[in-house]
Amino acid sequence: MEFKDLKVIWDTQNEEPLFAVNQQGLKTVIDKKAKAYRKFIVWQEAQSYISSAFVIGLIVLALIGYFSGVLERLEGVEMTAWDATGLFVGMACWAFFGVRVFMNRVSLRRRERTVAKNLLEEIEQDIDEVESEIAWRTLPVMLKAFIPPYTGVLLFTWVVFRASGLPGWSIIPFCCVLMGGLIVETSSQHKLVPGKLLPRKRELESLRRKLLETRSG
Amino acid sequence: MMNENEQMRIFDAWITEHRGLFFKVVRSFAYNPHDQDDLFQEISTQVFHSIRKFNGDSKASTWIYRVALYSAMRWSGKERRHKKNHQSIEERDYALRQNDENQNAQLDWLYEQIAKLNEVDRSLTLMMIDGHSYREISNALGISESHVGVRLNRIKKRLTEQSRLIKANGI
Repeated sequence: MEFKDLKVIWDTQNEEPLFAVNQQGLKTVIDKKAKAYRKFIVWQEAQSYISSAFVIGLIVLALIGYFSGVLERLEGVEMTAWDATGLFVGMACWAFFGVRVFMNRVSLRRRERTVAKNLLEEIEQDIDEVESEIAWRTLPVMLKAFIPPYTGVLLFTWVVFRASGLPGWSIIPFCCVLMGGLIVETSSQHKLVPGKLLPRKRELESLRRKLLETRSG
Repeated sequence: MMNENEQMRIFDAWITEHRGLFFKVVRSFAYNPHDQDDLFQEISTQVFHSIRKFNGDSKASTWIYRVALYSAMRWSGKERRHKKNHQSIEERDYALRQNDENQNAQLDWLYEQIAKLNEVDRSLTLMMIDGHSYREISNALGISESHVGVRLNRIKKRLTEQSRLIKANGI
């Protein structure tokens, strides 16, 4: 058989399609997937924004109470200028966290709008993206991202404990819980690297290699 | 910014006009009804989302091929990793059904040969046999035109040799 004969065999499927499409079912699937993706993104961001807004709101209330003298009038509550400074720092930590989430969202949108000229370029963009996700999950980078919100919570709690006259040691169990949370969060993020990201990176690199092998003949 | 209704309208037009292209990619990368349906859904979703990025620089069919092939390549990799996590067939709403009456042994053989190629060669072959020019293939995949030619000549030679072999054996 010559190649043109193979082409004739191939073209037979143009007259008699191999499959039938359930168009309505397909639309439902696409719609479901798009909604699930949007929900995932919105939920992820909402968690960060809501927690930031919640903690910042509490801190602002405490600061208003301090500067207006309301807290001073409450029995058993004693807040100093150092406590107020601690609250300001805590607020800055959470604001930093919120801004960081927002900036990540902006850069994700920018990446989504970028159009690769061809398949090779698209693979290379995807490799860059996986690499940046892996880089994000290295311990120093993760600590840089997670420490501000944890510090913010710790400072806020410390001020609340101190101002309420609770003994200093009573914050230790709370610190342990925070530390546990930080360890769980960083290790679960880190587990994604060997479990998901590295295999994806290897696959993409293998595809790129196959394309480049083609390129070099 | 394109709204979702406009996006769906274009998708409907594409799936009507180019459904054969979707089927060919699906059949070249997935080999049982469950996987074929899964891949078809994945390709359709990716093509739907790609509509916002399509700027008309290439033919729609070339664009769809590129998106479909890359989705299929990525899907194959994911499938290898998550083979165990399949939903049971009963749980699914199928978007794709095979037309059983259209069985063609020669076409089956051709698909079998294509399936033996690696993902990149498979992609080159699909586009070539479907009538895309070397330039279009080169633009879609990012490989130089001359190397598309070299590679495809080898594949053509291999396919014709294989076809002679099965003829010689009386199959």
